[in-house]
Parts: sequence; structure tokens; C-alpha cells
Amino acid sequence: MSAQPATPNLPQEATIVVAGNPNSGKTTLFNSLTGSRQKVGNYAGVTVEKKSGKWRVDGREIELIDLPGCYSLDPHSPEEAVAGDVIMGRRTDVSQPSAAVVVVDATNLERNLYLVLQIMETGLPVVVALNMMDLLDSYGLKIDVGALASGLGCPIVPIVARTGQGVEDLLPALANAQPQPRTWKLDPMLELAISEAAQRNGWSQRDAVANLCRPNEERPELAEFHDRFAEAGKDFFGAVISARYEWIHQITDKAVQTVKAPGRLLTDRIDGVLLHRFWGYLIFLMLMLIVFQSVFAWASYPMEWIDAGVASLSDYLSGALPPGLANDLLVEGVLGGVGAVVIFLPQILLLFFFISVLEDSGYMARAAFLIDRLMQKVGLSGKSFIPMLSSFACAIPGIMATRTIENRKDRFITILVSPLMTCSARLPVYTLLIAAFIPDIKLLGVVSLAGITMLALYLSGMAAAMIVAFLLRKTVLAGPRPTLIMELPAYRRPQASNIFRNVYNSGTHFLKRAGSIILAVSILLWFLASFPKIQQTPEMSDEVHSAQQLRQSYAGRIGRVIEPVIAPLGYDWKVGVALVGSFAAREVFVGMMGTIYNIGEADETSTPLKEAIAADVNHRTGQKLFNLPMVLGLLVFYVLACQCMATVAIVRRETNSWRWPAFLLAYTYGAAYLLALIIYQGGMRLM
Amino acid sequence: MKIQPRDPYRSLDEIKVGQGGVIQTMGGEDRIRYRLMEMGLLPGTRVEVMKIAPFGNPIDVKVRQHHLSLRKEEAQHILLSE
Repeated sequence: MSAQPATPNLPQEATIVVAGNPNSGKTTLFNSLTGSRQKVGNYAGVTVEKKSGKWRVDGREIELIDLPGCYSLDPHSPEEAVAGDVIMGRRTDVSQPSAAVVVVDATNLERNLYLVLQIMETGLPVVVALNMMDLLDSYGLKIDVGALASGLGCPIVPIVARTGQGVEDLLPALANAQPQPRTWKLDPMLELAISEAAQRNGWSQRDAVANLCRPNEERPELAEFHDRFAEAGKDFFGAVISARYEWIHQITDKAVQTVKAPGRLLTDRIDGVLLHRFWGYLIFLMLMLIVFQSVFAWASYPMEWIDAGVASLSDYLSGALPPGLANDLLVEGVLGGVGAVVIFLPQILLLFFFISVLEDSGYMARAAFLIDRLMQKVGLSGKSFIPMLSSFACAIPGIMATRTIENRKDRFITILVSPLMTCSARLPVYTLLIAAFIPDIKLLGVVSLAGITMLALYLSGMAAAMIVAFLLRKTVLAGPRPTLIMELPAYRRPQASNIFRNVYNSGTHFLKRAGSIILAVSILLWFLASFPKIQQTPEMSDEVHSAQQLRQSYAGRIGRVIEPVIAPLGYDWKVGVALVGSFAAREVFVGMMGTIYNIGEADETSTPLKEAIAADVNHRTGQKLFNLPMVLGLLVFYVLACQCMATVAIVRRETNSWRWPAFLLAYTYGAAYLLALIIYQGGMRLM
Repeated sequence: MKIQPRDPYRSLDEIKVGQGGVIQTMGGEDRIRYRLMEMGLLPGTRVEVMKIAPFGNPIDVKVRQHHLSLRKEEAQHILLSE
């Protein structure tokens, strides 16, 4: 007698999709089924994240695809379009799924079942994982699972994803899942139209319904039908949605009982405070301050450790290896490049930690709700706030955080203006130039001019971002007005495993996707600044040797070549070299200036450096190189220009093309050049 | 589409916190209308306004046991009766 496979209907190498509304606990279930056997990537050609994993159960390995959370399969957003495509087997980078597990929030049954119904209509066998059964009590609800299952026509497995309860019943249910025909009906005229459209175009009934729901522009071949509907005063899509909900309501009416009035739910009580006109905003400000502080200040400790670690490792390696080209390449080029990548991790991990906690607890939606009105003024929505806030510390985690913005145009605008926010890497440049050139006067004896200048620079970054966002919204990325149709989920205790997963994934996402570009550019810049090598003669001190090395290097030559172009801004080749070099990272400007002026290792507090640049003379004009108009122009240049290879790398990855990073570089450098030009030329005339 | 004062229906953006009504019609731009309908805002559904952010925007609405936020511009096309 041959052993019967435990799950006869499921192929051995099955692919199963896990679908569900956002906040339904879908990701918790996915994580508990796949553990660490997860893989995060991108669906080809779109900016939607692809999450898959292996579910080891019953002696087999089932591929699970965690679909983006969605409310329906109708393509309102790229996420929903991709979800629909995956389910229908239309994507070439995903195998046709054999079945779907749809995670349903038991406390929110009707809206969740809408998605279930749509997936059932595609012909895919469905198992409903009825989650959050443990919360029904506090809502005063009781669900007759059997009645629900027979009404719906598919197996229902009650689970508590948080604890893993009930999960063992999923596989047997999947084995018995069958595709179900559409059960709800529209009025006869519309039903007739469906059959006619199906027959005429060779579509299935389901496809005919879906296509008739699409707007006229998308399906011109159905224009005749739409005219007919309009004449009869019927709204096809609206009728379909209503019919689905009506059918769902009939089922839930029988299966769900309200055993007691729930009273004021905990979530509503908490919202009474967190969405309060005064307290709500106060708490919001405090939380935002914490998020900002973490990326701006707390992250600097691990960043310093990484710096120190890389430095000692490079000392060790350069001593341990034989001197020569390979040594330099490995230590200064590659190790330096790796350091340039890894240094971003503390900020990214910290930011995503806080974002995960806020998201998982349900607070994130409230934050977007509170700040939305302000963001509307520049044509964005509340969801852009936290990404933009983090960009004040560093644009890289800020740009990664735009993932939560579903609207593609909103997301791109937020990404494109993030580099304008005054990031912490700009501070050493500002500090050096302000200390060297802004007179040490105090206005009214209290407020220092230097402090005001710094504040002005900060604000101009923000102002520039607002202006550009507004302009982009009107021109390049113009589109329908953004909405804030968003669910405010019930508050839940954040799950440690979810948080850990999110933080871990964000780190690996960054390393894998942006790391290679940053490493490559870093090595390139190192090469340009270090070759061709010149010999150190006995009378050269180390500092002079470094200066001469830089002067003769390719970077130095590039500086001299671009000198005519930057001369109208009051710069010479030395500034040119520093500009080229600080594309690696803005703060490199200070170090390079130190090298060029024979000072060696210098930072923004170095007095010899300040004196050196203050004294230098422009060889073209015979005047001081660093005079006030030039310095102000240079500061503005750093406010606007995207002097950061890491930013370019992350924008490339998050927008999935080279077009947007190119646009970013073009507009920021263009604006920077123009304004620096005006300030210098104008300033020189006035002096 | 603004409502005349003598209309029996009020638009959602005119409802105060704690009040509610039954949706009569869902108006407005198709794209937004269908989105809201799929989220459960259908004619015949009861909604209650839970919170309104300063300046009347956005609005937190309770519908079918969950909370939805929407902007004033979207809410003004939804007509309710008591």
C-alpha cells in the first residue's frame, strides 16, 4: 500500500501567495512561517518590493510570496497592480501560484473579506487565515467560523499570528482548497453586458468584469458598453463594488454576533490623547525629536567606532602587506570604500528601528494624519514627513524611508528634494567657512552672526526643498492631487520579531543595493586623487608631499581643467579639486582643503587651516581667493548641490532607473552654480 | 459640488466630531470615489466622524468597525442623511 501524500491537491513544488489588508497581521504570519528563510528584492520594472520565503512544513519546502498589503486587486496603486499580476500568474519573475492564504483581521471582517472575494474571483483556491481571534472579546464579537466558511465557500483557519496559534491547520486546509465560481450577481442588464463583452473579446467572465471596471481610456474597445451604461444611468464599477459588499454582508450577518456592546474601545481612548488638538501635537513633536536625535546624534557613536575600526584595520593591513600598488589599492581604495558604505549603517538601522516601532504600533498613520495639512501646502502628504525629517540628519535613510509612500509621484518628489535638507555632512563645511570668514560679532550683544548664518543655511535648505517640491508638483511630476485616504489601524503592541526583521532587511537592502555603487565610486575617487604617484624627495615634509601629490593627481588635473568653468564663481583649481573630491562625501571638502594647503590632517576646527585659506590669493585676480562673496556663494553651493555619491546610489536604487539620479544631479548642480554665480558676481560689484 | 442649505443631506466635511449619518451618494472624481467605495464607504453605510485635524483637514471617520482618514476635498463629495 503506497503512502498517501498528506496534501494530495498541492503540488510538491508549490508557490503560495500570502495576501491581506495592511495591518491584518499578514507579515507576522509570513515571518512566523518562513523565519530567517526570507529574501527581499524588487519586482522587475517596478519600484515594488518583492518578499518571498521558504515555508518548511510536512517534509516539503513551499515557496511563499508575501504580497504587498492591499485592500483590493484593482490597480489603484502599483502595489495592488503587482499583487493582481502575481495572483493571475502574469508576472514572469514569479511562478504561477497554486493557492492563496489570505490573512483576515477578524475585528474588521467586511472590508477584509472584500479582498478575499476578489482573489476568489480570479479562480485561485483560497484559504482564509482568520487572524486576531484573541481580540474579538474586547470588541464584543463572536464569530461562527463554520457558518462563515460555508457562506463564503472556502476553508477558514482561525489563527493568532502573534502567538502562532492555529498555524498548523493551514497546510491541510490548503490541500482541500478549491477554486470557487463568482456567487454575487449584478442586475440583468449588466450581467448581459458581461457575457457579451466576454464572448466578443474571448475573455473569461472574470476578466470581462475586471476590464469593464477599468476607466474608458484604458479600455477603448469597451466604449460602447460604457455608453450603454451611461445612457441607462448605471455605474458599472460602483455596482460591482456594492454587489460584492452586499453579498459579504449577508454572510457576516449570519456568522457574526455582537454579544455585548464594546463600550469605548481602547484604541479610541488612546486616540483621544494622541490625536488631541494640543497634547496630540506635543507628543508628536516629542516623538519626532527622538527620531531626529537618534539619527543625528546617537548614531554618531557607532559611526565613530566604525571609523576607528576601519582606521586601525587599514593601519594593520598596510603594515602587514608588502608595500606597493596592491597594498594601496586594497587598503586605501577597497577598505576605504567599504568603510564609506558601512558608515551609513548605524543611521539606517536606528531610523528603521524607530519607524518600525511607530508603524507596528499603529502610530505612524496618526503622525501622517497630524502633519498632513502642513505637507499639503507643498503638494505632498503627511506620509512624506518622517522621511524628510530624517533627511535633516542624512538623506540616505530618509530616502529609503520613502518606501511607505504609496503614491509614486509623491514618493519621487520626496526623494528628489531630500538631498536639499541640510544634512549633518554639510556641517563641517559650514563650520569651517563660517569660522574663517564670518566676523565674530554679536548682534545686540547676544546673538552671534555666526549662529545666525548657520541658522540661515539650515532654513535655506528647507526652503529650497519646499520650493522645489512645489515646482516639481507643477511641472515634471504633475499629477492628480494627492489624497490621504488611509486606514488608522487599531493600536497594537509592536512585535519584536517584526521589528527585528524590518531593521535587518533595511540594512541588507542598503548594503546589497547601494553598497556596490558607493564602493565603486569611492575607489574611483581614491584613484583620481592618488595617481599618478610622485616621489617624496628628502626636503619635502609629509604635508608638502601630500599637497604635491594631490596637485599632480588626476583629480588635481581635473581641478585645473574645470577652473575656467568655476572661475566666474570666484573659485580656483584648488577649490575645484576639493569639490571633485567631496563628491565622495561633503565633509571630505575640509580634509582635502587641509591637504591642499600643506596642513595635512585637518578638521573644521583647525586654526592653521583657517588662516591658510584666509590668506590665500586667487592667481587669476591677484585678490584674496576666499573673500566674502566667494564664501557666501560657496556656502550656497553646498546648500544646493548634491555632493554625495551615496545619495546618487540610493536614488538610483529606490527609483529603479538612472534617469532620476541624473535629473537630481542636473537640477541641484545647475541651481547651485547659478546661485553661487549670482552671489559672487553681484557681491564683487557691491564691494 | 456644494450643498444648498435647504438640502436634507449634509456633506461629510460639514459633520462635527461625534456626529454621523448614513451615506446617500458618493460623488466626486471616479478615481477617488471607487477607492473610498472599495474601502467600505458605500451608499447605505453608516459613518461617524471621530476626529478632525486643525483647519478641518484631514478627517478621521469610523466605518464598518475601522477608521479611515480622508481630506476635506474628498469628504465634501460624500452626502449623508441622518
